[in-house]
Amino acid sequence: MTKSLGKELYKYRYLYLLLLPTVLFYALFQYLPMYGVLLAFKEYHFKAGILGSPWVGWDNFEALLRQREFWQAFRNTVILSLGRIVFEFPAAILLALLINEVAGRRLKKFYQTVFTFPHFISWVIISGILFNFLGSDGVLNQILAAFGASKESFLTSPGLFRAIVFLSNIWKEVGWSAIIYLAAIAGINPELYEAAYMDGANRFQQLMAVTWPSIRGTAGILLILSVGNAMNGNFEQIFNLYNPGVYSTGDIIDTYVYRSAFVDGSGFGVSTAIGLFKAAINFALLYAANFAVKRLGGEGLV
Amino acid sequence: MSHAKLGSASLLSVIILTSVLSGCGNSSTGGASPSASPTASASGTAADNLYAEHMDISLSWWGIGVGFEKRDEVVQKLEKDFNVTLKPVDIGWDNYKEKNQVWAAAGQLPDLITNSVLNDSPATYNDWVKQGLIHPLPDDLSAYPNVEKIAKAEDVQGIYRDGKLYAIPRMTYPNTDMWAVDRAIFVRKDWMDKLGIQDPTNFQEFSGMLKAFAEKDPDGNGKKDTTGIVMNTLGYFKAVFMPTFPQFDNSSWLQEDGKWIPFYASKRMDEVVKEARQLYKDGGLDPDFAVEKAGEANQKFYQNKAGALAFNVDSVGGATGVKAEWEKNNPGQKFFDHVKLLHLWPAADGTLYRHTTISFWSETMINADVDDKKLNRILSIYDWLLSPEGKELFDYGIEGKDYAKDASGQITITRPKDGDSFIDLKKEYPSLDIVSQLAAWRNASSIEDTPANRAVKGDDVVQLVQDELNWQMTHAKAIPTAFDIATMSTPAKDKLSAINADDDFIKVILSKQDPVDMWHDIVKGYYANKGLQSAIDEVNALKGQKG
Repeated sequence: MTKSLGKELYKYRYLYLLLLPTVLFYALFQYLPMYGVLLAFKEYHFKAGILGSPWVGWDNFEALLRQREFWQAFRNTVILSLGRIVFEFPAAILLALLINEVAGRRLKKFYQTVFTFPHFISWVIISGILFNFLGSDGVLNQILAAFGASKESFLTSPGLFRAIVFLSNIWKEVGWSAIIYLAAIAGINPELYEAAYMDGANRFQQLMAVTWPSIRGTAGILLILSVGNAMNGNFEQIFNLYNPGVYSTGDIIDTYVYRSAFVDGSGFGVSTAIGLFKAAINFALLYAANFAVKRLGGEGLV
Repeated sequence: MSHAKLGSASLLSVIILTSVLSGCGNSSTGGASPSASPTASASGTAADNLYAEHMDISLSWWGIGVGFEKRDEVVQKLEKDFNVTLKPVDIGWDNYKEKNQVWAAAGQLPDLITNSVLNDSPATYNDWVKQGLIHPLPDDLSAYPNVEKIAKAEDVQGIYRDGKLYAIPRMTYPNTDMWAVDRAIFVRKDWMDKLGIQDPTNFQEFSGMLKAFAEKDPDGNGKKDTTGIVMNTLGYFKAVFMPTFPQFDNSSWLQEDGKWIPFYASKRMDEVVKEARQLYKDGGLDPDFAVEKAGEANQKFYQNKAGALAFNVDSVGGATGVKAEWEKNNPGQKFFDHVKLLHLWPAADGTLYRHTTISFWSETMINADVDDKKLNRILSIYDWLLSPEGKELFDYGIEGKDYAKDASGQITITRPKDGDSFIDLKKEYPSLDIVSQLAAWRNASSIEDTPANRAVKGDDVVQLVQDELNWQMTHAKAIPTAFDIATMSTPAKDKLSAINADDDFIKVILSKQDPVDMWHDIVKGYYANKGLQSAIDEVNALKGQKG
């Protein structure tokens, strides 16, 4: 048995050699650093290092869970992630289907370019654009004023913040996210459409009977991935758009950690605890979503 | 064929592997402390061989990588005079605290550490002291009189730990008085004249003035597109409430009902949040203040969209100063014909207050791995940086090249001119900004009345700053400030850094709920979740001990 394994290894030695860098890469950069997770249960001492620092049990987690702001951030993260799945996730599918229905090839390319372009603008710049649009002297307020309505402070109102987050992210990312669906649609065998056409299906019926079933698998995988990412609330976007006025609805775990890590320098332990906490929830969510997709007849990831 | 291909492919994979692995090797930082050589130390008393042994000193500073790139004559002079090689270690304004933490964890701190934990997170300072990361200064600093002066400054006493000083605080001003000009309200006097408004003598008049700026079309363009006051950052705006509650302005502790408490726990905050809300609701306060990034709102003042700007006096001068920016946006008009400094009104008890705070911000710390000989060399360098000779270099450049000095000490600037004014020394020597501020900030130098400043900034700007400083010294009284508590460290008080009262203040201003109720609620949260009560108890106990 062992002999045959050695033989096997030798026989395919070149292939194993090809595999080696990848295995080493994961071992070195993904698995080895995981021992740093120990910090979540330790009080970090600079001279002692990660392994030498004293254990503190669940203290770091307790410190975390005691903070009122953490729970507010936790709640906001969950709500924003749910909202993203409900509003942003279908938007890309919808756009891909719509672009696919555009008749002219050039027009199709044109729309795709127009919708993809905002993806390449950074959030810093988008926050500036939004400010010009929604600020007290912004376009929207000037229109309101022209109609005699009173000015609104859109960017500092907690009730509107989440809507702004969803809409701005859809505007920025919808075209980019649609690409993968468009690729899936491009791979559909045209004979299927022809057959449907022969059967008398109109455009909408073709969409429902041919296009959608063909991209459903892709959508399922992407849904699992985005659910598994739910505890990461798009730090860059929130950080550039929020202000103290909207912490109550907009502060997510990542932005909260960012702010508290800066004021309290000795918080390596607590930061790691938060990271571990998030990872554990993401892991559970990923499996739950995977299970759900499989139950609904999709393919799933694992 | 397949063998050859497979062979070359596996060769490639080996190459990738080695390059990946070599990438994670520890690159030498150059900050390794030299082993002490026992030969040179024993005899060296004579001045000429004081610096006989060459040393490498690594130091971190914001943007030092670029500043030291050319290794200009200022760096060369320092290296030659003290027989050292300076190894720059770069930090950025947005990441220096993280970098210091990471280096501390990795044991890679430079010899000279630039950080700001004394003011910003005393818990980290205590940690570093306790864990032996940083070197205490010698008890006897008499050989370095300029450093000793700082070590003996009154508000520095609070950062001694067990009788030892573990940092050289970077002084902003030589004393706490000069902070008076670090707050200023620039106001459009032409707008005031047009609307017939006098200098406000209380908050209501001030508020009325700002409201009029927002509503009565002071620029006469027929549109309601102006606002009252904008701010460079919130800290400057807080000065507006100095008459209402002085300690709110400098975020200090005060005694109330026989107890020492931080400003946010005081009942005098009620009045402050009420007033701030009123300004916001009336449109007197820039409606976008919470959304704008630092400095962004200044544009509204420069572009005649705001009647007042909260900033500091010194910011008026310089190529990107308030005056230059305003005149750029209003071609052909003179800044001082349209803008003046607005003085605050007296408090309820008739006292007029001026801004003050602790006299340093940020610090140099010395790596614990530095040996005594290197420590002495570092202190010699710092002593020189703080000396009049050092200041002369920072003010005038290199003697013989940029200026000449005759026997009586009269200085003639000889460096070339660019248009009307002399070329900027900082452009000539990119390292100057760094070297000159390594030991102390240059704020005091930049506001003093010297030929150098008059040549660079112009007479009217220097005069304005001088007049304002004099006015404040004659008329106003420094905010009573418990400097000893500001730097006091107790376990619970150190944790108060988790409280961000400024953010909560902004939240209250923006909200529609009753401001006083909201503030009380917030402070209740400080007591319940942030350990405010134990911090107050500890501080009062310690304060009681010290008498």
